[in-house]
Amino acid sequence: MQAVIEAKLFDKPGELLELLEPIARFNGNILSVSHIRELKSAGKIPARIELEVPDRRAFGDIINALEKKIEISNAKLNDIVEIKRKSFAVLLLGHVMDSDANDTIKRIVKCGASVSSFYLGIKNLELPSTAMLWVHIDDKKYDALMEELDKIAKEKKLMVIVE
Amino acid sequence: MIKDDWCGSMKNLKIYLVGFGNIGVGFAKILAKKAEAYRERYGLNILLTGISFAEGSYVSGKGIPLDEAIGYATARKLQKHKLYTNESFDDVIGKVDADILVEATPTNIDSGQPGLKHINAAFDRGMHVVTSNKSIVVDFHKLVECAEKAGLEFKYEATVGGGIPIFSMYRQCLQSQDVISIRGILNGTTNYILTRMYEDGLSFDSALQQAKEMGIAEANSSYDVDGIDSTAKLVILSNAILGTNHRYKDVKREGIANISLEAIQMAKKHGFAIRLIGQSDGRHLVVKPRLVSVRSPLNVGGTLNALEFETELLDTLTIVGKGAGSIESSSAVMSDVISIGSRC
Repeated sequence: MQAVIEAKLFDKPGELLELLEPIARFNGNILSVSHIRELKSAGKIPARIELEVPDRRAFGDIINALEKKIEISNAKLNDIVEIKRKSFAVLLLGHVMDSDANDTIKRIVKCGASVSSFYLGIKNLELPSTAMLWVHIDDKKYDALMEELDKIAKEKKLMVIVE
Repeated sequence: MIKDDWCGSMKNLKIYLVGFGNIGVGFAKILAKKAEAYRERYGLNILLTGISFAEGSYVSGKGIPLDEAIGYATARKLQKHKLYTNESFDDVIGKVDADILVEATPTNIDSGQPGLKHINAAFDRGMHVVTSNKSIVVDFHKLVECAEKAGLEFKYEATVGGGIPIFSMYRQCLQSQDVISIRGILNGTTNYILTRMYEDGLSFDSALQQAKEMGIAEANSSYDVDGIDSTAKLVILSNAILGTNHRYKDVKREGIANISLEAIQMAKKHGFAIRLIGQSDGRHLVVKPRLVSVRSPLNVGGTLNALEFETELLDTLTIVGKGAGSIESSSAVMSDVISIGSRC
């Protein structure tokens, strides 16, 4: 069976190996690997692997193993989309800490998303601050997350700027 | 249909111009400069047979001398011209001999007036219409229907993206496929402000002040800064290209006034710029600040506009160009006029 896996890798030594190792372990046969440095964005490089897998179960094993280590954006088996994820940055402006940043992240995660990084810019506790986070979510849950972000913005008087 | 009005091998194309401000005068300037080229290249002898403005009108079946009219407009002495009468649009529309109405009055998002009245009156009298007026957003589909029923052309290239030929490109180059979604920077003023904040580390207020001093922003900047202008353009784009029937109020809108320099710097540190983006997938229309990767084709600086079409067969197609500006908009109006003149 023909498969395609697209992932976003950190720009650090050994990251590509992390992607390739489970494929070999579950008897995947790699046909091609693209690792496109020119498209590096927000510290991550997109990679695309075309491979053959013995059956659907092997494909599932590979995906499960990969998901523990790296961020998969798309996966197809025999041209049928199995995974389609969006990964994007979100900027929060306002009283991010005072409005309970922990609660904000929990509400994002409750929508089925994962948050991989959180950066906070704060000059003075009394002044508005800025936070940036990276969010990953299944394509089908994206609209619900956007609605939740709108609610969070209104309730907490934050400005939410999405990639 | 253009009346058969030939002068030798030349076809006379008579224009009634309503609105003699920046775009109207810009249109007259382009015509003054390029009239000979249009005669040679397209066989079109373009004549301004009427001009109406707030204080009155000029009318001449033989064609209004352009340099004189431009001179009086520039000197703000329109009433001193020998052709001046205090007749209004309502007086002139019934008697002016014209094939095309060029509507270049200011936009009124709320009522659409007086632009809509001018356009409807022109259709009633069998004139084609070319407009730069975003008031068409108020009644877009009715205007398109009126034109179709009457067998007339209705063109509005100058309403979105200034000099970028968005609608012409769509009609001429993308007929083979559907456009799935549209997104882009639709307002040059806000893009200029965000660029100065990003590149020079200016606060929002300082960047806005600079934009005003350079004549890029109006004294009342709300129309640009609050995303009103982008919203009107997005509705026109969505209705014209995605075939939707949305109105101004259907758009979720947020402007750029609350964007801090700290936010711009945080985004920059992580490889992003903040841009005011309008986007429509046909169901949801949104104008909001967005993080745009610095490598994205949409990340254009200064007063540039950029528009990305997600298409059925070509994946994404991005076009970039100068947005607002009287010459850019006037040039788009002239292209529409020539397009009508060449086809009819």
